[in-house]
Amino acid sequence: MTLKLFRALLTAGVLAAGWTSAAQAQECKPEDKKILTVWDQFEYYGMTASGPAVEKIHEAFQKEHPCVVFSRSVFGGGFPIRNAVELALTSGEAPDVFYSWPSGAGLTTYAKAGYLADLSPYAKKYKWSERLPDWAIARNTYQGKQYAYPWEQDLEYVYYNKEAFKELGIDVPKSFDDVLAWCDKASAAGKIAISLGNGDLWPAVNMWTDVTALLGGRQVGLDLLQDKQDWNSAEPKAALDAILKMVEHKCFSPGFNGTSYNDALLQFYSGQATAIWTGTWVIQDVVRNMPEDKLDIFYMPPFDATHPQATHMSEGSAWYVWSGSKVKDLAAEYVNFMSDPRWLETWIKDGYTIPIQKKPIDFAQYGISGVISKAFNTGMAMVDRNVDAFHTTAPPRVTFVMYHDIQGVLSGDTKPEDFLKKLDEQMEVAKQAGEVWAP
Amino acid sequence: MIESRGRKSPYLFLAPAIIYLGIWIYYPIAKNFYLSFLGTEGTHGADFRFVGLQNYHQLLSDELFHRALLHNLVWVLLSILVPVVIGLVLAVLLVHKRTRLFYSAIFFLPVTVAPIMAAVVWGWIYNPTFGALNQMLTLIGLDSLAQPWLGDAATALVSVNMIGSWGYYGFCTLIFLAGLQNIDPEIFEAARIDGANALQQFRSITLPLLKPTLTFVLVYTTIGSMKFFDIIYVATKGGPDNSTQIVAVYMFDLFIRQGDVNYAAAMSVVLTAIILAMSLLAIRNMTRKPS
Repeated sequence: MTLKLFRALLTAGVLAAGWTSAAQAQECKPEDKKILTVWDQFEYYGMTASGPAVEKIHEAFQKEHPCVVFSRSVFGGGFPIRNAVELALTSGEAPDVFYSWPSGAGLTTYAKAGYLADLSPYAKKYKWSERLPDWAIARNTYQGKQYAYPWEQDLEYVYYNKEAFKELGIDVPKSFDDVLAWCDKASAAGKIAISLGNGDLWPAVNMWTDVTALLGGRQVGLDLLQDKQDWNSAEPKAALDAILKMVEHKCFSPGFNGTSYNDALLQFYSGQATAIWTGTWVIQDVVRNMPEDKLDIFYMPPFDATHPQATHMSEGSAWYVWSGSKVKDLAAEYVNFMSDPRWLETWIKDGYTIPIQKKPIDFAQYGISGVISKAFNTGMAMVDRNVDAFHTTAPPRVTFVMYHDIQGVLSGDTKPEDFLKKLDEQMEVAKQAGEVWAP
Repeated sequence: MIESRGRKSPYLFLAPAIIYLGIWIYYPIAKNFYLSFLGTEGTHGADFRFVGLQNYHQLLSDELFHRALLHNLVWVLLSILVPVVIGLVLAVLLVHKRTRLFYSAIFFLPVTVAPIMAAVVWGWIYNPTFGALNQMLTLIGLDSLAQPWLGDAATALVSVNMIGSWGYYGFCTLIFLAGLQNIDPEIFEAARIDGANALQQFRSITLPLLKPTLTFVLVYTTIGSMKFFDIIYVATKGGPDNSTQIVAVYMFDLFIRQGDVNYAAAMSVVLTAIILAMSLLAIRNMTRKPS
């Protein structure tokens, strides 16, 4: 009896599935079929672990667009996606939509070369300015035209081990002197105060951006990145000096220039380090690896008496539409669908991603870790003071010098002034080539 | 008819290889050479225009390129001094042993490890806080030697080269073993009867008769070292402070990250020319008839 019932249900199920497919096939004439090629970074682990959310949203998009055939490729977050996109664009065969970085000057070079579709008409049509804050739009704008839709919200702060702080008698620092005292105490106890993996080149540049924000504020950052202020000037120099002082006080992992970012995270998770100075891009990894009763975050305190607390911010990555796409309208519709506010909960709960939003997000309704809401609420409250991330906003040739030569500054082999002068020289070359960020 | 088919057949047999090389090697080299004489306004551009030798001229004043080239030469020297010498010594020690097959398999094992994996694992071994190397040094009382191997500009290049050497000496051992086995043992026996000691036998018999093998290994090592990329890219990305920056890594960054296609193309033409010159020199030496 049970077997008969099972067979009947199975037959009904197969028939129903067949009917649905047939219905879809009927709806789709061959001439209506459209292929949408998408390259993104949404994996199931690591920096952009939003795979489950993206698949859910894709399913919904597919239901609304039964004639669209997806051709999706997932690349690792960070450099793999960027390398793949760069090759695709220069070879003249790029995906319709890609989710990559950087913005600012990086976007300028792409837009200037004609690789990107102008999304301004779509921004108007879908009212993206109601969803996105002005600073995020500006980072993705070149000469008044919007070329990308910025997504993940990036902010940088300190994750710390509450237990280790308690054991060493350290309070959350309220001044630069407190930071140095924390380093001294940790070092005396044989611990690393702040784990730093600058073998990956960008972590120290991020740190330098944060300290420039703390000693200069948002306008200084904008002026530096838009070539209205020399790099060899007071605030960036003072920021380097402050970091060098921290090196002197043994704040960071020994051999940080040869330690990878992942190994620095391990130093923090294993208890070798009391804290790690990094950002939102690893928030789920940190939350998963550290018990909640041990973990908390704080933003670096004001480093002097005249400037308030601040940090650096940017979008982790953004959606771009290739200028050569034959389905631009569909591609823009896809970008709009993926970023629609109705998916906010899916992105946050299933995708571990906090999207850039104009209106503050009420994290309480999503029941996520308190660390996550604290990180975003505190960081976004300083939006007027935060500086755009140097390494994702400066021209690529300037970033190259930042990455490599700041290692020399921190090891004491290069004088800060020489490093800053070199940045100015590269900025001049970039300016001549029209590569400077010009929203 | 048969004669005509006979004339054509070698070309037919060669055709697949020629087509394959043409598509994947010769065409890219020619296109790259062509690109090196072009330029765009800024980077990433597609509006290529002829700029003559401008990109080559830029190489003359690019200090980082000179530094990278120097690092390549140091890399070649280290790759000859360490794995080739170790491989030769091991092969000489093993050649008359019954267990040579077993040991050469053991020594060959690192060759089977993907260089990228080797770089990651050795990154952990070198790690200054939890790395095995520093812990071992501390354990045997040599803690004063413990240091940030990859984090210090003074030690980084040699340390990364050791990763490459670890993955290469087994290959050298195997090739030298094959070469040594081709030498008639009676020559050594005659030398021994004449009273030659081991060092004299090595200098007067092994080295001269192993010359073709040795030259092959040296050419292969030199070419491989000049175009080296993967381990450095994974282990240090050219850092710290450009101390492990070699031409291939610098070129990759220029092309992929900075979008400076034409300048990177000029750099690769120069690198290819250097490799070609070195190879020709070595091959000429290898094929020269003994006087």
